[in-house]
Amino acid sequence: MGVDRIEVLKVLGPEEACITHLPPQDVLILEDSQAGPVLYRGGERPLSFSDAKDPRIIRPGDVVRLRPNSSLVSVLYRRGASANTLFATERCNSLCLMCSQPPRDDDDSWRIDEMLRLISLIDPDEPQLGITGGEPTLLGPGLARVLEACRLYLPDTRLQILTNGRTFADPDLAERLVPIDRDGTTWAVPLYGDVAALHDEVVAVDGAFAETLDGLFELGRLGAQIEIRVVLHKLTIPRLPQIASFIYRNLPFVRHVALMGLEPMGFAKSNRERLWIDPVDYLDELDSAVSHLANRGMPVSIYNLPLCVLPRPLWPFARQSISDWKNVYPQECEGCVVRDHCAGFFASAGPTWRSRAIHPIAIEEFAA
Amino acid sequence: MTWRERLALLLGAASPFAVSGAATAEPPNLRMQDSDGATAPTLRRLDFWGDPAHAGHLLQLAGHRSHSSHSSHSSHVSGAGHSSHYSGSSVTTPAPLYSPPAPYVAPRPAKPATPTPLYSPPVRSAAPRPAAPTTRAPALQPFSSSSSVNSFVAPRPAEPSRLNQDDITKFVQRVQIALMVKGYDPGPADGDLKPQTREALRAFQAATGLNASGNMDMPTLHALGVLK
Repeated sequence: MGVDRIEVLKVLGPEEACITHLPPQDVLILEDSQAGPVLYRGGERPLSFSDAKDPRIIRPGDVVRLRPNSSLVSVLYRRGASANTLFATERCNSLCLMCSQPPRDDDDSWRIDEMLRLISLIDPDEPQLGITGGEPTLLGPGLARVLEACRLYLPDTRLQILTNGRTFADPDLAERLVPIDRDGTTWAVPLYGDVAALHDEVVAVDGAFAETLDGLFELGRLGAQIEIRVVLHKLTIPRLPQIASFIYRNLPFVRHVALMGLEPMGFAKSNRERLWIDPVDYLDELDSAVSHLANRGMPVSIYNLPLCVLPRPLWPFARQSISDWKNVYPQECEGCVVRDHCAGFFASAGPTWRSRAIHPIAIEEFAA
Repeated sequence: MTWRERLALLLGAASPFAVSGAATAEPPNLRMQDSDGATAPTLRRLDFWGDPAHAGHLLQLAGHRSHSSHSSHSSHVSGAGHSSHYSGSSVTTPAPLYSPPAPYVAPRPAKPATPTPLYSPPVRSAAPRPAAPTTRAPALQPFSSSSSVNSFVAPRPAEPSRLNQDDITKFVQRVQIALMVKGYDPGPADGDLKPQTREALRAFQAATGLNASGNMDMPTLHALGVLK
């Protein structure tokens, strides 16, 4: 690509490029020609666009990162995708056994500037945006700048921030971050046990349970919107009913509880023996936890589990939760009548992560 | 009202939401439809909060009084068709740590439907579509009775391919399946828009904050996720 430095640019079709409020130097025009798609900046000759790549990778509305002397195009934002996220940092203060995005301790504070730039190029009518990592709150005041930029450029966009909540044990940080957009931001905090030993074992940090609870109470005190996430695996399942009860009793201010099937990525793969349990073998615990919360008016959802492994009474709680770019349906789902309502599978899930209960659901099961 | 509903109401009143101030708005659409027996939910023990989406909406209602329709589904309309992305080795993306909890993100008040002027996602659905699913399209005319095909008026008379009875049966069947997945009981999924199915539609519409007409109008079809 013909750029002198790393650039983050908005891709637009020719018509939209004419009416956008963005200055021309921020825009890459994507035009379809006989020879395939062509990218160029206004008034300049076309940038070379490697023909080996699938032209569908870049679409109008996307935001891309270009590097000098490289044909590498990174898509940072995709218009119309169900799950756009800002990647805040690779650093993390936990080391969860099933982390799908293992942390690295590099100085990647440059990401703050890139996020600020990216935020200004995202469609203002984007309904929601995730912020993830790493542990985003490790950015501290940097995260505050990011959130403030979101409120400036994307005032109608809901934010969902994945955090382990531990840093919010510091009331000052919570007070700095939460009020930036208290009602438009959801803090999604994982909790893996009702007792410290269990939670600390899963996140592999002593004292994490106490810090996370302190953080949750700080968030609750400030009126933040909180979602609790429990990842379902061999360590968390035995006490899942107790965890649900713990959440209801001790954290009644949370808005939503998500019980999440395991994503076979990162550390989860290397820890498969410690973590894997077939979902059909934990349906009793899952049903108990869901019923306990739902019957008490606590919104609860099941993520990442296909409908065919769940009993029908749990179907209304199952969500299509897997980001579209890593969401697949195997061949045998073709004939399934509830496929359109099903979470499907992680593309990374190989045969060793396959529930024995998976099967297409036939119309006959609904006919009587 | 059955004793279970009374108990559920009691539990609801004892929930933390009832005393948090935010939830003093009495749930407007408690599933009272259940009491007529036509839509007795298939859920065990979940008579009160049968549809978790409903519970979520109550919170949203409490949070922002103006409440748009079930917008968690609107992303389905524009979000399809990306499976081939990121296939090239030279393309990187920040991978989210977890999958996104899209369904429970509360809609911002007065949020317009996301227009995507230059982006038209490929249509995946192989099933018949009675009306072009543009947000501006007039509501799909309700079937006035289950058997009278003639009373079905397509929004665009010049539509080249009119729906035949088979298409309509299949479509109603998909609606029935969607209702079942969401915990309602439309009766057997036989493609017949029978009174029980209409009652289930009404219950779903009421719980979702839609006009509880029992008709398969566009907002309802979008909320059910049968238009993709």
